[in-house]
Amino acid sequence: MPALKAFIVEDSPVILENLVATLEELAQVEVVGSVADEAGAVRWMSRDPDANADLFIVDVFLRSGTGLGVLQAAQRLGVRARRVVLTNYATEEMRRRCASLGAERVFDKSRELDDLISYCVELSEPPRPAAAAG
Amino acid sequence: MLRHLDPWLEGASRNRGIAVVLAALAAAAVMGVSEVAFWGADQALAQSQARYVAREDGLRLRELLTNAETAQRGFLLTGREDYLAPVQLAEHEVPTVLQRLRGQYESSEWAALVADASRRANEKLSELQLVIKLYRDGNTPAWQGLVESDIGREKMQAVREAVGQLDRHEQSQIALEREAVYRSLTYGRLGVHGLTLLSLFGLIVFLRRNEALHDARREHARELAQERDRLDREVVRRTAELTELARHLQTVREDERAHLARELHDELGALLTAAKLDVARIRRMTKTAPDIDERLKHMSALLDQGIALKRRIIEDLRPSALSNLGLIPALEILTQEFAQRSGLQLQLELTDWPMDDGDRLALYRLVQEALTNVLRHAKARQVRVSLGEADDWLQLSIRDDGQGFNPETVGAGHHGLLGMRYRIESLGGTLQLLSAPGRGTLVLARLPRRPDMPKAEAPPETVPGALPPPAEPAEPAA
Repeated sequence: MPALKAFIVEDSPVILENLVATLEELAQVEVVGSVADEAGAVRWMSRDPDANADLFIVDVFLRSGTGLGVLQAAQRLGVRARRVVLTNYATEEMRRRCASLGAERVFDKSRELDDLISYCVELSEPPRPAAAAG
Repeated sequence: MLRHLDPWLEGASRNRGIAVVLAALAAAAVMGVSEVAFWGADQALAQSQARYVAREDGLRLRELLTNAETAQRGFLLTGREDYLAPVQLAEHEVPTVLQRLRGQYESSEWAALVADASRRANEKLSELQLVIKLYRDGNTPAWQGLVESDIGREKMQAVREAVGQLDRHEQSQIALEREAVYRSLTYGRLGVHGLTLLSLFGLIVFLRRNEALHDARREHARELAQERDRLDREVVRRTAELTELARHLQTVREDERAHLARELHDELGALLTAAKLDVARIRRMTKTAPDIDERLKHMSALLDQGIALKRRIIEDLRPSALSNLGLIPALEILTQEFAQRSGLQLQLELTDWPMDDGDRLALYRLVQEALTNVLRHAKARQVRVSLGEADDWLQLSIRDDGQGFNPETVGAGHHGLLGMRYRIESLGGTLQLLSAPGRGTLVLARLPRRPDMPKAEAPPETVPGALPPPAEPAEPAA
């Protein structure tokens, strides 16, 4: 099964653990790695900008550095994988900023978790109907 | 002696009445001594004058009689009438002279002597006249008998002796009186000298007391100045202590708030989010049972409310954008949101500058407070927020083009910025509120430059040990 490969930047182990479990269970997402700070994320992206993951799920407030820095680095490094933001601080201004830094979507950590799951499901499913049809 | 007199003199110089009386007494004493000396001398001189006159009269009497006798002898020898002029002169003058002499010695112990001399002089004169008469009458034996007798000579001798006695007496009296004048003058001189010295002494005492008084005043002024300086220093010290205390309390409070905010965010937030994820997973599993799904949906909404509440508390405790993104992004977010909410035009001009955590938080709160005021009171259309350097100070200004107000009458306290003023001042800065009716408002905060410090990238761990160190990259369990 061509699972959607996701990399998560999240500093809370509780959330990380639950998020990984949820995504893997509900959206056929394969979490290929996770870090808790900006520097680790940048290191991981710079190792191979293209092939490591299909999706980066980035929290804004990190143990050190910020998710905005991660997005900036992704732009700089030419990462082609989709980037989405999952944050507790999804204000309008934050959404605008994240969008300007190349984030495809911004999800609120409380109200929009279902939307994130659906988004991941959408990303991972289309190939299957196409494959079934083909 | 001076020391002994000192208390008394001090009392006298303190009491103006006594001083004036003393000065008057001294002046009266000078005048009295001078006057007494003058009167003594004057009297003595007047007496001397009288004595000279008396002495003169005595000598004149003797001279008149001697001349008369000599003239008589000449007449007797030559028979020439022109020899008799002195006799006539004596006849004419002797009574006057005698009268004066009697007047002079009247009622004195010399009165008898003068009376005797006077009698003898008159007798002598009579004898001379008698001899001349006898001569003219040609009674030669008679006048020769008279001349040869010793009567005339005795009388003459008696007058001479009396005059001599008077002369000696007067001379001795004159000497005595001169002595008295000299004494009187000496007393006067000594008195004037003494009183002059006394006046000088008084002046010296006065000057000394005056100097002492001035010294005391200077000392008093110096003590006052010292006391004032001490109080000034005390005020400065206390103010510094209070400022330090206020800053410390502020720091403690903010630290606690930050700690609480992080705790809520990291722990409670994570738990709530995890719970949300669980609910989402369960809902996917139980989609076929609408009743359960309804309950789960409700539960999810409750969790949303809990998360929203947690966020409000966190934002109130400590703006999460500030603690996580830094001052400038936080201010950008704050002002953008404000612009959207209020419809005002906001201009930003933000330059990064070394500052510490307290500075960042204070400046953020100040902008928040100022923007709230703009929205509430100013009726402005444009707001300009700028952060940068001015004269080596960090300067933050929030300027609006609203209706302004009179700072004199409104006061910073009513403007909700009084607390901000203390907060900025406790950080060593200043806060100015410049406004005038119709001229808009400018809030101007200045903070001292901090020594360059590394940008606080990592917020410190809040709950040591609560979070396991993350694996990097953490391979999730399959």
